[in-house]
Amino acid sequence: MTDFAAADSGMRQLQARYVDSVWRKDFDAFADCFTEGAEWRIAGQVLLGRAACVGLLRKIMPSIERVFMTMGTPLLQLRGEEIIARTYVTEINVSKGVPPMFAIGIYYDRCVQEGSRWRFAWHHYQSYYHGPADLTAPFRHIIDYGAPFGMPGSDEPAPAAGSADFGEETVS
Amino acid sequence: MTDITDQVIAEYAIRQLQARYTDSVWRQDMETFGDCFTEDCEWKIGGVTLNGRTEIVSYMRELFATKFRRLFITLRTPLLDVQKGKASGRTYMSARNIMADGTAFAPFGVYYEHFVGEGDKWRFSWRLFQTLYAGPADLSGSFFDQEQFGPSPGMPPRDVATLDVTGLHKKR
Repeated sequence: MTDFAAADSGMRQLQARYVDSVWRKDFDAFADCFTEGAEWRIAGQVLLGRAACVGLLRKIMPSIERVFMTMGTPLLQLRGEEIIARTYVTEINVSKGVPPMFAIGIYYDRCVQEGSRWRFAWHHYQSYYHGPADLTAPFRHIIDYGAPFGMPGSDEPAPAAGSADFGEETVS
Repeated sequence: MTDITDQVIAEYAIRQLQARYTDSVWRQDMETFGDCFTEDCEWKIGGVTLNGRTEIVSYMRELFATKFRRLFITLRTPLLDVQKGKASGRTYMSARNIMADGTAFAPFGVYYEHFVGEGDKWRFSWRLFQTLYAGPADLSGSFFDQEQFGPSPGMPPRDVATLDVTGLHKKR
């Protein structure tokens, strides 16, 4: 059980570094959250390698004033040397020229320990909601991988918002 | 008094329990939801007292299906008093829900809970939920003065009253 508790601490510290780096727009600290060969699947994109992962942040941040992320408790499983995790997340996004937006989503992660730090080796994000903070935009369909630890396939794409396989619910 | 290792392991296990709980509510996975409770768990919520896992699952299955379209719960750090193989504590929560009619509902409240370790899992053995705010995310709804139980490790008595302030719960 102490192995799980240590892994939990390492995972939560990794997520705290990730959230802090996004808030401060610290690209070096953000990059340090990923392994050299990390894979990040988000919004229909597949980013291969640490440089590509931080490249996405560098690309989108000029149009964004602030991103305030809150991670829920990561659900964890230890598989050999790897942590498998699912973590719900909310975001408050403030962008230039548009009203603040609120987001709800989930990260499915595979993490490995490198020295004293855990890093994302495979980072898969699915969006459930992106819209005004009053939740008046439609929620997206849930892709349900079952009880923990069902996970997306390693080559499964992270659905792009509005794609046909990731349709939106109609809110009356 | 427990040693720090017992404290850390219990906190880890209880946060994992709470993460399984919120994940199962979001996915409407009632089997996993039911596995969060001891067989004889008592849950006081919204003026209703539910006795046993079977009644809890049955009641909540109907409540979720008839009143809600989405239930997105975020739990804060549990404030715990750990004893050997069991614990009690309070955990603040907020939610971003969509009701069955499509309106947004973003309450917050507090859970007072007793927990027990059963094999490799911890489960809820007793719960009181108090709604502290009910309404939209812009806080234009209503705040409620609920009975308080002093600083931690203060806990409600087992026969504490539960109030229906939202009108969501059945009269029984």
